[in-house]
Amino acid sequence: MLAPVMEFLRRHAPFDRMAESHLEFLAKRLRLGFYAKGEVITDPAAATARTFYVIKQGRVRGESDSQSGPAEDGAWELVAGECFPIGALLARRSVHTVHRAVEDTFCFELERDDFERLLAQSPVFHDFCTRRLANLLDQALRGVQASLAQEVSGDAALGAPLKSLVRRLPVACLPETSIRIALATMNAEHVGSIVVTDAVARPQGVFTLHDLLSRVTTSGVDLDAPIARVMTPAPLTLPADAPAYEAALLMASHGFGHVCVVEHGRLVGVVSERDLFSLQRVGMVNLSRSVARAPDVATLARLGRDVHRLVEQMLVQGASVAQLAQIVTLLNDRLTRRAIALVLADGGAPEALFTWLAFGSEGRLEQTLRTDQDNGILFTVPRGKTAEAVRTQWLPLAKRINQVLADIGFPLCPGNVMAGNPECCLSLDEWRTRFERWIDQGTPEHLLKASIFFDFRTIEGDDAPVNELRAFVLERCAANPRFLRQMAENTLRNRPPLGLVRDFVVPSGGEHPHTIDLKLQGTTPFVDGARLLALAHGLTETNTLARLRAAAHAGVVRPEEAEAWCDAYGFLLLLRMRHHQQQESRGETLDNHVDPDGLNELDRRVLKEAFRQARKLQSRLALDYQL
Amino acid sequence: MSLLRRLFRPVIELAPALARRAAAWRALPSLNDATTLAQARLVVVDVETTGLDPRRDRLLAIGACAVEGGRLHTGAGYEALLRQAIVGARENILIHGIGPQEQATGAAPEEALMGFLEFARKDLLVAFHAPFDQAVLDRAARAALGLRLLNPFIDLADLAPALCPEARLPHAGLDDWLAYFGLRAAQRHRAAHDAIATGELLLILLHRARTRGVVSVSALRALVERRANAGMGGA
Repeated sequence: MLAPVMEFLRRHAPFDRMAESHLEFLAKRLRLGFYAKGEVITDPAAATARTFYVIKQGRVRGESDSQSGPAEDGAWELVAGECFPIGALLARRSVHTVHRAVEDTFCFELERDDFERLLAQSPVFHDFCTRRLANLLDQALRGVQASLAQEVSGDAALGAPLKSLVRRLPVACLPETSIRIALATMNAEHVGSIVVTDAVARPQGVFTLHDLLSRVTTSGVDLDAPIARVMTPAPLTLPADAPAYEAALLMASHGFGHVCVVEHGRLVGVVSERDLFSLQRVGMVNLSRSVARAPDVATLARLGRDVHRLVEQMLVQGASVAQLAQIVTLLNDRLTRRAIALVLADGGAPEALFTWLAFGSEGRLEQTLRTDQDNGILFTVPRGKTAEAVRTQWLPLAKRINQVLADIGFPLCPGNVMAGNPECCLSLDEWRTRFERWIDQGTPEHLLKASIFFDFRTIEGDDAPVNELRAFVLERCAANPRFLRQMAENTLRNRPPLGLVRDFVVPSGGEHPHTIDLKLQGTTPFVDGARLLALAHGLTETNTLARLRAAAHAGVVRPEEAEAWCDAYGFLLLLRMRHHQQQESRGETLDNHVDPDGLNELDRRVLKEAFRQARKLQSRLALDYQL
Repeated sequence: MSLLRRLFRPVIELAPALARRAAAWRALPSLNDATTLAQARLVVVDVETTGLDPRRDRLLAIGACAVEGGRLHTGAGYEALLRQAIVGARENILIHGIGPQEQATGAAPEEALMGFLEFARKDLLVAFHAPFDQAVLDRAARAALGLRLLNPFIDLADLAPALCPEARLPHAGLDDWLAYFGLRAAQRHRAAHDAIATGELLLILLHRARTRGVVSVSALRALVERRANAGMGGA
């Protein structure tokens, strides 16, 4: 009788990773309750939490019981497989949240005594509830992606009906067809798979090129044997009007690369994994091609918006932040290059060689959605000319490029870190002099600038002088421990907002009351810490994750430490991205202020863990520099 | 139930242990109709048989789970596969999916039925198209144990339309009701899964009953009977 419950549990974290015996312990004790739409499940008015809930079906809204702000701000939704109220159960306190059924909802329920017994028995469950392990970040990442999926699936391609993905008539054969003929058909049709159907086109099996290796070639099956002998029987099928993501889910859960699309049980097409994911890849390839060919700024601006949409869809598809940042970087780099090319073609490029540099997040390959411009030019000075003369040639062009970039969606930098600013349009020698001054003098302003400029990267043009400049910076930093110490001091000023009782510290007043700044308090400590490690140990990477991993590789930090920091950083980035996306969909100005009470339980706990990792990184730096 | 049929019922010799269990079950107090629904124990049952004729087709599997205090005890139910003396060729295998091999490896019928009776006690039994389950279980219990299944039954096929007339599903099957409420049995036509899906339907209906002011077992039964009678009159 346990089977149905066990099957449900195995589909959800953390139960999917729990030992069989613990799962059985749980399944035996779970009871199912029904809550009609609008009904309250947990109520802060009740004394201590006595029941652990796992949503089986339906949706539950958590409304935090805060006095500040309208209830809407502190509300979030839980869906099937999610658990509550873990914090209250662990602390044996009352539930601070009104959990209410948004629609008719079934919850599995476990008595507190049994909850505590399970906590004691199952390390996986314990980890899940106390969130002390970094692997939980993964789960939260998935959660963030799932919630994004809900938001965007309406217009995302994965919400499209499967029939819209079927590009051609299916290639099919009867079960008695010989393997030889089936292969010949596949070859003639240029397909990697063939569906075996009965006489009325109902799918009976699938045979793929992959099967050819394992089931035919290596096992010496006669090519005249019927295909039915080597096909994979009982193929996955979905009706033609099912949304594409259902196919993705089905493929993922069964590990099959193909889904048969049927109408009234009859085969009308095949959708492969590649079809699903090429949705976006095709989009990307097309996009970057169109960018490279864009004839004018207006076209480029439209493509800039497409890049934006693409990123949303990638997020939904579960791309990791690292993958995503790579793609955004790639596309933004192309946009920038095309903008440069359009301006130069129009205005006539000076003969002198130049490099277009990116600083800040662009230099770190960490752009998410819209990021302000941070750029500059490094030019070579031809014999017989002065740097000043070359600069005079470049500045008007650089200004035009900055304006074009602004037109296509990269806002002008309020701090004027832009190539059109004479201070950011320098020869190699001038850059060297400028950077050396910062390193030697180290005023607060210099430190701030260093934190932007020292993450420089080539976007367009000659790489050699850039590498030279980097080698110079690393050499000077290594020779100047005072500068590094000052940077460390600066870094440690941004303390993660964790309180003594491991809860969040949020301002009660000010411009953004009861919020956490995901950038300043969240990602910045990692970015600054990683930069410091790179500068101190001669690491040439500019990307934060790459810097942390390089530091581990160089033996500067332990690999486990570096990975935990990378995970934490990735989570914070993703949260920030989601926050921006939500603000954008509501037409609000983007900021980084998030109310921790507005996050779901899992995200909140992982956020705490991420801050704890930031604190660890900072303690490490404090130790290094005796601060 | 006539005296004649009672007299001609074959006498069943039970092993001593089983006889003691049968006697203990017989001695259980009957359900008190005045019990409130909040206190009552309702046992949802689903059977798989070789066909749809309760007088002839054989019982293959029983799945049951209880609702107590408004909660369905999903993990503490009862499930038994009955060993078959003769394994049917193809019969209903496509529906219930219990293959010949599985049919041959089940529990002895007297053991399976005694286990079920002990699980059900004398509590209120609930099923969809209950007369069928009732007839099948009663016949099997008589044959295997010489016991009559005396528990009262509630038929969800009557209760559901009585409580949810707005669904306009007067003569609908279980699948229709599950679909109406967005319920999904992980696997239909497996007794355990069906019992849980039916149990979920019962939870919803009990919630409806509560909001309608139906608080006691007797009131619930009255509702079903009214509906059943009305249904017959209308047919």
